[in-house]
Amino acid sequence: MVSNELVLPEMPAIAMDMSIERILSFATLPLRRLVATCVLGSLCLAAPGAEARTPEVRIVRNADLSFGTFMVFGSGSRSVTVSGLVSDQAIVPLEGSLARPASFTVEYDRGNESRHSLDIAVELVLMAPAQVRTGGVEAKLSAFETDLPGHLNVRAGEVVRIDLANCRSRICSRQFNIGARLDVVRQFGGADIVIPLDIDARVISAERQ
Amino acid sequence: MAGLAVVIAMPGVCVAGPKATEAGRASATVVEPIRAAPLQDLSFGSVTLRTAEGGSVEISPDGSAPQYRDGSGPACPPESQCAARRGSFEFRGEPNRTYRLELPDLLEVRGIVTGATLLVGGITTRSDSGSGQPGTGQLDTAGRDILFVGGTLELPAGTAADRFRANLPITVSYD
Repeated sequence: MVSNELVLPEMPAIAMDMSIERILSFATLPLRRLVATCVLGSLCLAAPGAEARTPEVRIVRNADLSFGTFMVFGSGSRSVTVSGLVSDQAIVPLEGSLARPASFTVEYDRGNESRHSLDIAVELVLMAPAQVRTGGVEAKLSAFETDLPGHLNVRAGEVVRIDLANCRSRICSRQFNIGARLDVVRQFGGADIVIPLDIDARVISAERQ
Repeated sequence: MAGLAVVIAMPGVCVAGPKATEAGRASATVVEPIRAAPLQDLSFGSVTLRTAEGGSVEISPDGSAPQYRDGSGPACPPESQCAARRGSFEFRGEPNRTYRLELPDLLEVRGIVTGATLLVGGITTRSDSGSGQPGTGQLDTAGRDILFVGGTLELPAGTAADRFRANLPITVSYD
């Protein structure tokens, strides 16, 4: 039997009610209040599980953009295309990490198992600082490119639209690659260059056909 | 108090606006170029030669005493300015990186006065890093290594007195 003070009759699951009753049967009244508060608190925490059923967009990072390992005397540049082709200017390639394009996947989760066909439009914005300096090495990213239709060349801050047409599953996704050019000016020493490359995604429409 | 739930359906239109951000990165490893600077010339010193016999002078890169064979011998005491000594180079670059050396197998040295030529063969190296592989080495944690060079000067019978010189080219590159 559960007391009114514990407000447990409103608990949704009978099995959980019984479990709580079993726990509380060993507790004094103040402790019962405390346990009940904790239980209700956990129910509140569980509530976001219901929010997971609302539509959401996710960006999954599959691979970072890597320009590999190289030697440069004064200044030089290396370009990595979306397909992974590498071209160098005044760069001496060395063994080490391999150059490869970045890979991301944008996912739209409709939040339910409905089979209605949706046409989803997602806006992506690529964000990267103009340049970074690590020790005696200055590096600048430019000439971004993607393999998204109509967006071969993009600039940082530019809006890129992805259409996920005729989406009939709970999650519809699109994988895409990003290439770029890295200009390096070396004054002294070497450096492990790391430049943030963030992707913002926003659903601008999800229309039922 | 009973709650009231109202669901308003808008056929054909879902509310837009979910957002997400993913932090990626671009990376590169920029390696400092390797540089070589000569510290000391490889010198066979002043040699006495029984011209009818000929001989050879072998200098080891490990710093041991030079070996004079057949009709050759040292003209100067050890450690003197005109004594034979191994050559050395300093390499600087990216810490802990291994490097590769290219040296000539045979070097021709020419007499300044007579224009006669002699051959230096058996050019060998030894580095401070103690790399076991010939022609390779490794920069230390400070990005430095010292390379020592030795070789064998062949002195044919009948070699006339002269001063012989040649440049010893060394090419060093990262592995």
